[in-house]
Amino acid sequence: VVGYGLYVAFMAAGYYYNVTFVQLGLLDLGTRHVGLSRTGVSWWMAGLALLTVVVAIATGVAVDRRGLGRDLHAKLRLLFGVVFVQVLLVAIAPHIRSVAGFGTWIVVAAIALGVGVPVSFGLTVDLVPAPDRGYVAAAITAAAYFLANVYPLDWRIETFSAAMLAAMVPGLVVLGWLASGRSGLVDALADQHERFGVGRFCHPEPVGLRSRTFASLLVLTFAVFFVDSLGFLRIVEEPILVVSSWGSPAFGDHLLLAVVHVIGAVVAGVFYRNFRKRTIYLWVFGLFALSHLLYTLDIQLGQLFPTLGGAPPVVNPATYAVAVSVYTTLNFALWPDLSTPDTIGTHTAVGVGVSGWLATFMSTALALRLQEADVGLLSHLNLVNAMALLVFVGLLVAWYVGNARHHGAGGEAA
Amino acid sequence: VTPTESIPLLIVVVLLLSASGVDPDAMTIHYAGDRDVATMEDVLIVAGGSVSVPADAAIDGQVYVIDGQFEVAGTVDGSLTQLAGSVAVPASGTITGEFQTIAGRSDVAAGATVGSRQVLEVDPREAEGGGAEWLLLLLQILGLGLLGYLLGRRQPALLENVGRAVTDHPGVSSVTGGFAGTVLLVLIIAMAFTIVLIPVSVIGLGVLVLTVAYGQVAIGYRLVQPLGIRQARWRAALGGALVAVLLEVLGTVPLVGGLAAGVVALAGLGAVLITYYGLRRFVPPTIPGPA
Repeated sequence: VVGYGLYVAFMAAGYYYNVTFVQLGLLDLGTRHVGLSRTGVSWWMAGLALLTVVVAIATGVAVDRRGLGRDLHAKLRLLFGVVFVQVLLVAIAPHIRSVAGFGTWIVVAAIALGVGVPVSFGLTVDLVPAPDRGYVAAAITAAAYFLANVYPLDWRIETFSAAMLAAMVPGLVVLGWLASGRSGLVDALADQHERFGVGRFCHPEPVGLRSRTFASLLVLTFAVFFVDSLGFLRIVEEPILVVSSWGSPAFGDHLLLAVVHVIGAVVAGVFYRNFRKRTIYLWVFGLFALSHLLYTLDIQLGQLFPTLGGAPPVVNPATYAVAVSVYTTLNFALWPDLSTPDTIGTHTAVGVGVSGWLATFMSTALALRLQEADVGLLSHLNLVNAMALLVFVGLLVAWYVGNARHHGAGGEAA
Repeated sequence: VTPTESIPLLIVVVLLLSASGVDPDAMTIHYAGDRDVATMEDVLIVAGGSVSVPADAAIDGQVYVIDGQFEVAGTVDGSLTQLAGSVAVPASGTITGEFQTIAGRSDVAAGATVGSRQVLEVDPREAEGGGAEWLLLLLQILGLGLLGYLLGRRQPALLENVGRAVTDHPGVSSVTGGFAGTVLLVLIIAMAFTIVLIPVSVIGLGVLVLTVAYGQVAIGYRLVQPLGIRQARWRAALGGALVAVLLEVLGTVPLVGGLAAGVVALAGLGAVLITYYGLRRFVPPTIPGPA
């Protein structure tokens, strides 16, 4: 239970840092303090994503080659280093005023994030048994998104910095004690990977990096992040679409989204434990398609009936929030479950790096290109919706063909 | 009121217009603010704000009120249909056709002229404590009992699989039912927004209701198992009827009763879905790990 608590705390804090400080704080820092345009900041963030992937994969490979996947003490020491750098970055950020300083900050942040991905995910094999990973991933998602939605509502870098420092400094002290080697608790947890370090999908044989299973899941998860990011980047640019949700001045709207995120995470945890991967992916793409459909429908209705107006109803962002929670939970559980203690570094680095960070980089780049080409809101969301529907239908077809082959093979054997 | 929230009533209006052969393109919708109307297209829809026909004005066509306020101080040379909102017809007002109130608040002054008046609104005070609730419960008992009888006679194995999923995996069933039910409802409403897909959404809603009923029958089938009724059709019929009564009783418990009844219904729906309508037994994947 202590291991579960530690893991949830580390991962939720890391993800909270990601979705608030990095994704929202940097935008404020770049535009308000450094004087960059929103497009300029977006390009810098795309660069951050790309560099993070490179560093993550390099670190992951190094972790596996040195056998650190089985060394909890080493992983905690590395994590301490990452969090220490991040605390410094968080403290420095509000004082940056130049493009050079902003760029340097981005590079250092990307290195810290890149190292942090395989190291933090690598803790899974020591702290969470395979049967419980769906529920634990749900707890991480629920905690991170709940907090991110309710605090802080003021998306300024100073506010983010103060909030993050208040949480990270005590966490750094605890992590330092755990990483020091003087904790009997860590010694007690250090051998657990022998009992439950092998992931759910690595039975009876481990899944290889070049296997069809890994590749197909990588492509699917990449598509999830890509669809989400491409759609969200456009939605948040439209004040009318966020005024009753993420951009609302009312705390109640944020609280509602936070609760919806928690519900989505719980559902995802139950689904992950009790259903097959394909079912969960179908839900994710189906939900994204539905969510974008609702947004485009509202816009189309507004065009058909100009006298009808106003912000979209809460069901739109709520559906979106559920979809995000479902795939985030999946992401936290999936890559460790495709790994063993000997492959956890590379597999999680490639999985999270390529499907998460690289997809974010590419979707940001595409969103900026579409913006420069003056593609309208409706066309943009239609494009995202088409992608989600395409993958959804593709999955259904794959499911059907797979079943047909299975039954065909059974028929021949009989 | 947002576009999405207005649309269900708009859909009803469009359906009514289509049925009466009016082109929906001829609609004028008033959504917000105050407005006096002296002329209009074929159809005026009041969806919010305040609309008034002044005492010296006469408009020709059909008027629908789905929200907001509508006052007829002058003349409406046609019919008026009220689905929600409020309608006032002072003594100077005239409606040459039918004034039909399905829901909402209406006030027709004694001196006003109305071609014909029809009020379909049910007073909740009359329904409460009257025979309507008992009649509804009786219909539910008969409906679920009949469904149980038919399913039990033809496919008792399906009921067994669904029932087992509820009792053996209540968490998965409830979560799946709640999640899938909510998403499907949103999807059905979204389809209705497109107007073209209204028939599909109506069919979808019907299927969803039947699926929920199927789940309830399966729960009942499982519940009455200890009674040892041999014939599956009678066991299922009794089970279905019993669940209808149980849900009604649960619903009367203050605070948590309605929630508990909802969870039971959703667990049934989830169990139907995870067993593919009872065609397969639900078996969660085995994940190797520490005992």
